[in-house]
Amino acid sequence: MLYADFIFDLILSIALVVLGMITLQQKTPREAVVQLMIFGLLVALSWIRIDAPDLALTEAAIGSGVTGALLLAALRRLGLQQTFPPPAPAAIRLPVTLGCAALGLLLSLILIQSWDEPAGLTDIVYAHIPQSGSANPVTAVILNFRSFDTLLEIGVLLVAALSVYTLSGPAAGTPVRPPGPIFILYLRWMTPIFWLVTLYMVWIGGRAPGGAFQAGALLSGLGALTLLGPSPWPMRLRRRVVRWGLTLGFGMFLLAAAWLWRYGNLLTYPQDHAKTWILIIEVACTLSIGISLTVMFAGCAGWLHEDPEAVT
Amino acid sequence: MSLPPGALLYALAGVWISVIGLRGVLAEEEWFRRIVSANVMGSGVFLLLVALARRAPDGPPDPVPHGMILTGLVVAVSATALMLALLGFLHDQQDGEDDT
Amino acid sequence: MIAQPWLLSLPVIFPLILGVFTLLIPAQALKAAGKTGAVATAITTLPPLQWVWQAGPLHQTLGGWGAPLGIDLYLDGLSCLFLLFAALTGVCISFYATEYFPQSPEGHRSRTDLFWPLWFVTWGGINSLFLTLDLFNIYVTLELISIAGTGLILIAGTRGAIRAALQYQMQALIAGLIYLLGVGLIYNALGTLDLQLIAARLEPSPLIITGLGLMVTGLLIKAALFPVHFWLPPAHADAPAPVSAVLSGLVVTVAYVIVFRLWFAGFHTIAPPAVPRLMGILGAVGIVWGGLLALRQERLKRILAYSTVSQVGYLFLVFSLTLDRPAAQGLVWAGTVYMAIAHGLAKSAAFLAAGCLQKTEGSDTLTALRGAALRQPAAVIVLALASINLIGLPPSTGFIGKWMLLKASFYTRQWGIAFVILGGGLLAAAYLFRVFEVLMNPPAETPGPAVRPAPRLPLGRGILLPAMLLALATLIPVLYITAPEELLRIGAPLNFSRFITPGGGQ
Repeated sequence: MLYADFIFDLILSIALVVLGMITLQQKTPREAVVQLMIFGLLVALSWIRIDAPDLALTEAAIGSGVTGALLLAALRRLGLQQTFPPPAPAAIRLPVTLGCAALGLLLSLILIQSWDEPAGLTDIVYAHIPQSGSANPVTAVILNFRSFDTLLEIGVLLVAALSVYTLSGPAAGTPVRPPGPIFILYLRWMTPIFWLVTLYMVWIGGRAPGGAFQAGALLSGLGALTLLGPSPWPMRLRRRVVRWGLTLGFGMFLLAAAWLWRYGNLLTYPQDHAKTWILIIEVACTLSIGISLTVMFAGCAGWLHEDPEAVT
Repeated sequence: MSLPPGALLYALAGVWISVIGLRGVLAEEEWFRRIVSANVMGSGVFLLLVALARRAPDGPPDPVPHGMILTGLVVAVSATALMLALLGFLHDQQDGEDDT
Repeated sequence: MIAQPWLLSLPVIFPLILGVFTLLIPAQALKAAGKTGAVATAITTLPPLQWVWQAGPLHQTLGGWGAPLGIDLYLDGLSCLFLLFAALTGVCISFYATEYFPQSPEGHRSRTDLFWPLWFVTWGGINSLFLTLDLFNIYVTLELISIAGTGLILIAGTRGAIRAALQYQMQALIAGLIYLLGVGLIYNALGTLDLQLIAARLEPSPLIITGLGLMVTGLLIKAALFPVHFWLPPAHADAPAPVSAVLSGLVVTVAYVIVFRLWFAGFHTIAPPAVPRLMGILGAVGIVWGGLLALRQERLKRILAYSTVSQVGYLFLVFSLTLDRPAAQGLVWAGTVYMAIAHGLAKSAAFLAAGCLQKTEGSDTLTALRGAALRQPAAVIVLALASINLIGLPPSTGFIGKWMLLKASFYTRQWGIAFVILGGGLLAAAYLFRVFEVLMNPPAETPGPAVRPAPRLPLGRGILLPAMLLALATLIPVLYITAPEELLRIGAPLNFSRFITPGGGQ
């Protein structure tokens, strides 16, 4: 059994490297994106193998799904050159390749040599989980022990989405061709299901794999589908409304931080209510993540209104 | 000799994937391809970190790197979206302007 | 009132809140909000400062967990000086920006209004980077200010700026990933992300040294050390002037300060001596290379951008200069910190002045600026005051810094470095005098239709005051008598023995 595990891991890890290489050798951009998405899914599979189901979910949703959708949307806008232009001259490629290979070799040797001396915070994290307000260790880390990181990270998302939102191109317009009847039917049925699963993801994140990031990615999937659907109502939203939506997560997080100051420290939850605080922050972040990623999708596709001075 | 643990294999895969991605970013000139390469590099780095979190053979994996990667993924997707939007903007403005 | 430790997070959280606030309020209120917010942010840095001055290094555990589980903030003399520097620069840039960017029409929000939220978020990030002790938190915050930096560059809206923003974002992403890889290795070797604990546990194992190497490499890209500076000139030259000031004056400095901190927190004890030597050599080459390229530029802002590449080089001499004679360390540290602060202030002032010239003359090419000293004397005076620092003439802060570094290079008998320090000053004089030669001489009477390429724009009232203030600040004696040096000695680069962790720490 152990042997079978080893064979599987060996094949998968080799497949990952090969697939990564193939992705960057593709002749056309579209093939490269499709390969990248498949590659992302395989990475997610490998993460299940090394006991990181939270991350596998996120990688499948964000690393493969959202990134792929963004790249495909951008590709459509960039006008689909059939093939990539010829690569850089060998005088540049060769030293870079050799340097990178040397780095890879060095890191591999060091990892093999030092593999057997693990160090980490596993024990400390697990010892503090009862006080954290979340039974899921990853959620406890990102929304309690290291919530300052997550606060700034939501800030990253906000700043990036805002920049994309401001950068509206002149080739704005309505999304693509009219959707077919099957897509319309699919969208009508899927919308409530998407919402249900999103809410469930946030809720379950307190105990099991799931949480704001996965749920937000899912929500942005719904957002992208809606934009492609018969009535892309998010496109007609006023810019002020969109700005509020983008800000919701970061703003709530900051408000919580400021409010919790009463307890003597930044981002210290009162112990009995930690769970509630985490849930409030997660819900706000989920909505903002969903909206941000949807805005990014529309921005990459070039669908945002041309005039940044449009009525607010 | 005992078999090397699965996590080590994935860690090595992570190293090589990030190196391949890095090479793509440095050696390619076409922006779309560089963005795809950067994403491959990101996946490699994250894979290495997840594998390192699983170094202890028994017990649960270390949740701190998991949190780090969750953050890193969001940063990567944000940067990707921003770069694609910039690229698209440049493309849309290309008409009638010198591309230098 | 006696300051409380929790006040330490105020300089971080307050600008972030302002970022959200300026995003949501109507565009008409932005200028007032920008000015008040900037002053208030500067004020938030004062209570922790008072604490450090009176009671020594200040330490706070975010979320109440404490390292290694949570994230810690730490304020010593070094971060005090840089917080103050950021506060002064930040206020001046904010006041300048209220005049620089046009007022949006009633009920509208234009692209340039994005400056305020992005700038305040950047400011919060910068303050956070001066304080944080957590390696991964440094990563997130660096990415935050990089992405905000990209957004700030792109509000210029020109093709060149968008291209520069793309390049900037790509280097930031890759540098961040390289840094993160290093953090991953260090974490796995030492089981903590907290710099204080890491400093206590360091040992020269291959895993740790490689991790350190990767982290420093990532940071060097962000600090634009030669030869990984290629992204800097277009980004800093094509951004709107207040943004150039933020990027060249503050963001580059903050990336450097992190390298400085990590290095002297203990990495210098385990790194092979070739590494600091190499950083010193790259710094020296950067000084010359940046200076030579600055000589060849035809646009004022590009000259200033290449000057940043050159000036950053000085900051990296410290690693080579402290190598042989630890006794000279105090001198080199002080000299380097003076150089960093002098450059930050002077370069911000210079970019602000260049922005004025660019607006009034329609362009910042040297041909367009010919004779501008007669039309815009105030802007040229600011530029001249800033140049005194960049060249390193007395009585500027830049001179004091350079003098200290020179003295240290004599102590340690690194003649090559001494030569480069002196030569770099001459180079700076050369590329700046070339600018002044153009600015001072009115154009010869050209017979042809000497039409200006772009219309001149009127300047806002008092727009040059903040720039003047920044330039003057580098000349005030207070900056280089003993106070900063004393401050610098408080908890001198991460001397952790001086404080006790309140909870959770080991």
